[in-house]
Amino acid sequence: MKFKRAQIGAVTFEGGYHNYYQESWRLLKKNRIAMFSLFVILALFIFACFALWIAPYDPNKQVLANRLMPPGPKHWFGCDEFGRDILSRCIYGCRVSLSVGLFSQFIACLIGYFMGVAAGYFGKKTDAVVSFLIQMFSSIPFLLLAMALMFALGSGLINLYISLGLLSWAGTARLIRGNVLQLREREYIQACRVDGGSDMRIILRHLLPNCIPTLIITVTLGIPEAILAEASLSFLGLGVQSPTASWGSMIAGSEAFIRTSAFYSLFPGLCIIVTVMAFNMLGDGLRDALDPKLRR
Amino acid sequence: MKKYLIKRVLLAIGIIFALSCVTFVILNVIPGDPVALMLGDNADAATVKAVRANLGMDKPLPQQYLSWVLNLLTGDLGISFFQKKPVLTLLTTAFQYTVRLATISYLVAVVLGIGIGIFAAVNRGKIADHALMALAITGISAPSFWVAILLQIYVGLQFKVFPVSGLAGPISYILPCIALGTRYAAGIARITRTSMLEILNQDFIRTAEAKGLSPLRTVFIHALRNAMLPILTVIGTNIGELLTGSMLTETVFNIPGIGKLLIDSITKRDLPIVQGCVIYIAVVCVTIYLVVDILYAVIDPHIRLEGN
Amino acid sequence: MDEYLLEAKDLSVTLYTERGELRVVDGVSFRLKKRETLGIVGESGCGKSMTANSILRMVPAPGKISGGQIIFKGRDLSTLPERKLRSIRGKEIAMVFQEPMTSLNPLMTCGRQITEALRAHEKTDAKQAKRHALELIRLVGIPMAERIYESTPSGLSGGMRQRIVIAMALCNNPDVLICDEPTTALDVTVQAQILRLIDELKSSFGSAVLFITHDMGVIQQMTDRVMVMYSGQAVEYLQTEELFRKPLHPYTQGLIACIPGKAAVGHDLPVIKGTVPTLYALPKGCLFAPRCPYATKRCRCERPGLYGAGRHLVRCFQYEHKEASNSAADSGS
Repeated sequence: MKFKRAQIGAVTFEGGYHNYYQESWRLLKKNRIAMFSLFVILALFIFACFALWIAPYDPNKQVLANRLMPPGPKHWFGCDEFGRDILSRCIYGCRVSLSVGLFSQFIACLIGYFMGVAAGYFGKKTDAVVSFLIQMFSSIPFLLLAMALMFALGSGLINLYISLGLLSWAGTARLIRGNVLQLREREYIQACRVDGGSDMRIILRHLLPNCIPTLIITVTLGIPEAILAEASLSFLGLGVQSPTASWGSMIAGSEAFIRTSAFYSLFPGLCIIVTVMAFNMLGDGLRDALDPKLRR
Repeated sequence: MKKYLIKRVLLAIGIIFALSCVTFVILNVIPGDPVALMLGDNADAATVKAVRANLGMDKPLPQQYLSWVLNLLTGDLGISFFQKKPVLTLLTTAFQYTVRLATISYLVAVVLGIGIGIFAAVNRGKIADHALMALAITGISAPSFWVAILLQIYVGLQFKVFPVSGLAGPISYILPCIALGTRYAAGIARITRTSMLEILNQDFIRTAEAKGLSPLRTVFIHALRNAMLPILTVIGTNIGELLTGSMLTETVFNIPGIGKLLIDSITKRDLPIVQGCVIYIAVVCVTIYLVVDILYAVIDPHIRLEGN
Repeated sequence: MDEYLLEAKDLSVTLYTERGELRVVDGVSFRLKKRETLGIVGESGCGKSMTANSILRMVPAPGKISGGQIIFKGRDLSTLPERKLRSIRGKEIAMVFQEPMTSLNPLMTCGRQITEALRAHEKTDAKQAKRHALELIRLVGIPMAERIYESTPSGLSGGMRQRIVIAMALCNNPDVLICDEPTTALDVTVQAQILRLIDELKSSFGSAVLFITHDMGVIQQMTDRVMVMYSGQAVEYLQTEELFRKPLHPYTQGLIACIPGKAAVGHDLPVIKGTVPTLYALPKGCLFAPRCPYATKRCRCERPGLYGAGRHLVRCFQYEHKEASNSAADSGS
């Protein structure tokens, strides 16, 4: 899902960080769509954190009398084939999706940053190796390797974090590499090297702050990809373990009942679309706000 | 150009080789005991041992890998554990369906996406633009398998002409193609719009207008050709994704393509097929990217230089 | 009144931005006779390019012609249907732009860009169009016309590209040629060549020229009459020779004083103090009053009209009652 990545350039900034972020925040605040998305995302996080109190029912409690009950006043989203409340399961599904998005992208971001920095900063052989890895991982659909990895590791949340994180760093690394290649030639970095600053110091103190905007954008746009990947994997039965409520697995469960209970597949899908869209639109907004090249 | 070509082909071979390594590690090393994985939890020790010997898995890992790769080179992907047929035969049969599904959807998606993108760019800021772009972002945010199920519910089951499962004539491709293509049409529409807007602001477009050319000519002859490169990049880089997208659609619509084969094999834990599938798709993807890269180099000579 | 080819009457252009409406061109009128060259001069941002673009209704996106008329051969271009306007663009009125580096399509051969302009207006076959285009390329002084015809603009210098643009503009023998700072982006030597080329071609093609520039030297060399613009308004209309001999408006006087070479050696170059007012907050009175050395109380609260008669008009209260003398002095023909 490289649509969005294709539109991101390497982002760097000159001048003070403080002003830069203030200006970005001001621009972002003016972007109504992005602010609305931010609001939606915050709401989703609240749902995920306080699912225990917000969800009207226990998501795993089976009440066979309610089997495939259509939406009504007691069960707003209806019930699934085991009589479990779909609304509650959707709310708990938030946890899975958001945590997979966050943790996998955190891993991807860490790997991507250090791979990108290593390639851009040390150059030569390191660059050749990392560039080869980047090329390799971006020339195969990452969902395919994720399927193989989940098949090998077995289903489960932790395994999802790891496999999606391990497989989706290539885009970040490529952008960071480009960033660092530009930054390396800057005078203050050169000056720091001449002064005998250690490589680690330069990488963390000087390169990292300059790469933060790029990382913010790639993470924000990486999360919806990870959420979609998790949904796809769970849909195929390779994601979360069985009773855990995940939007993807709920859709998979609904597949057998499309003739009788259309509502069942509708709601989890809507949850995915809303979440993914919110992150995508926030990512677009952040890109516009953080990229000085787009500023007027 | 020749130098670039050789370099690019060597890189592709290297990537395929590395991917075979990764695949082998993922499927044979990580699980610890792939045969146990394959047979499930209830198999007794004797059966496991027999199967291991049968598949050559009692040998040390490097040796296993080597023999697997050597067999790969001769086109031997092993024998399916449950279906007892050569994996390669199963794959090539299934792949035809996938290719057909993917090609049709992608062609439609490209044409539709570019068309919508141009229309939105030309009508920038108007209601049509906002509506189309809202639709496009919804399109790239919707999981294809969910779109597929919705299509089954609200189209397939309502209008009997569109079968919801299996393949029976050209008409049965329509729903799967919509499910698969929507996402790509949406993505291409977005990049087309962005790219077109950038070009439409340029001075030479004003020159073209000042010449008294018709808007159609200005947009298609002058703007679109210049806007094409980023669009082609997105079109090219998403072909790989298309194959995995196709897998999900195939499972929903019960089309016997490579995705269905892979998913079924995963559920049945048929390791030789899973392994073969992954490497097969990897080879296909790397080859596609190779071709795409070479095409770029032909279109835009700058890429050749940057590639070095 | 038929002697005028192109006439702008009270032309206004407004940019409809998020922060409000901006009058970038405010009630500008001018007339262009056959074979005559009219210069529009002013600082950057004074609306001179907008005026030029508005003639063929090519004002960029948030902008629109918000008032006035543009009469060309008896038709009002500001209300003409798009289709008919298109048959005038590039045919009867042609334009040459400021940025030669970006105003040619980078993916299309120079030849095709010229023949395209030809064939948009006349049904000629490809061969004849090619012959005509080659002839034009030679006419604008490009050696090896055949090679240039077949190549894309990518390898060409700014001067060469501007020659191609000029060839393109002249290919349909336009009655009016609008040159929007055609030499600003070029080196001084190339600038001189291009100016000479325009000057030669204008007489051999018999086109009237509307020449927009901020360069007083170019004005002196190229134009018969001048309109001086400031903050979207015309502040002075006069003959080119008058401009250098006896400018009346304080702003025009300032512009003339600022021409390098006029100041004595060893002294600082004179400047017009202050900056152009932002269009979001225009002064209440005369737009130039905040920078004007002669500004009176009245200048600061009242907008002056155009005073004078005949061929010399000034937007300044100083000349409100001197109409008779000015008109007597300037009504040569």
